[in-house]
Amino acid sequence: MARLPRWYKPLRWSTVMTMPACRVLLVDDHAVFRETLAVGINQLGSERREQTLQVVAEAGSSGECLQQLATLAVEVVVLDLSLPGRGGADLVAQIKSRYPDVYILILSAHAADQFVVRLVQQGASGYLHKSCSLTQVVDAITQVCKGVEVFPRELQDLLKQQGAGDGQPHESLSNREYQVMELLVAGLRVSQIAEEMHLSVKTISTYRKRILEKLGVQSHSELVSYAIHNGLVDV
Amino acid sequence: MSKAKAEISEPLSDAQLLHNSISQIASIRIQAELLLMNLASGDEKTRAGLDTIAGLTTDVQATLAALLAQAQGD
Repeated sequence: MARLPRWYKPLRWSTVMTMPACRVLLVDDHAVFRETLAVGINQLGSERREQTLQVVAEAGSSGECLQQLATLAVEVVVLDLSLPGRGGADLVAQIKSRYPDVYILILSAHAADQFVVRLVQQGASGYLHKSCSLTQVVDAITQVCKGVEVFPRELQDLLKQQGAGDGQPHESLSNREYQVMELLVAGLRVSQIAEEMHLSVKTISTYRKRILEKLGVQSHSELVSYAIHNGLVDV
Repeated sequence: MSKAKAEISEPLSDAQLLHNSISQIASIRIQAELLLMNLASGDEKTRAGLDTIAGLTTDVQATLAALLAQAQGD
């Protein structure tokens, strides 16, 4: 019988049985939140038997997120929607078009509304509100990493409603136009929206004009009426 | 005044303040969960630290309750 080389070490059974860690990219503009969450995920996620989790990178903006994805192998992106620059909303479609195998879990303070429904339809695999616990985040990442979608009940209901109403004018709005529409309906002035979205007043005015055209409405009150009638806002 | 100073002194919008608050409080919540999992020692220093956190949390709760009452009154 041939002797084994001196450097040979038999594989441990636990090494054979353990699945590789699910690699996570955290995207949030708040560094403290990001770092705390990374510590929590790495600690709690390393204790999971079925699937361990590992935060391999963090990003504070859309640009940083795309840079990280270009150089790192990642299974799940945990994404905040409020990001400087192009914003997290535009990122969902961008990530899915460039990296279709990467799962996206939205972790945002944005309520589960029609806007989130749009992001889900663009390829997000899960949604959690930022008020959730660390355990819920770790559970959700574990599920999403396995290809299971994680949506709260209210979002599932909205998804069903949306499925029943295909071809509505508001479906032709871009993500940006939809965001502006939500803020207009919430009563914000064009200048306030410009400030919140870090865009110029002129740009928001252009969005407003396009929104009214696409939805076939003439005034702000008609826009509000359209949004309420189609369940685009909470009343 | 330098550009950096001008940026720091610029007031935050309500939306930005709310956004920041949610992220910061969400961070605190995660840290509290980690503390609960990790903290074994009950020495004086740890108790004092936890007392400080509890006091700050009570202050935040009171401020938020007042804000909520104000918002509901509007």
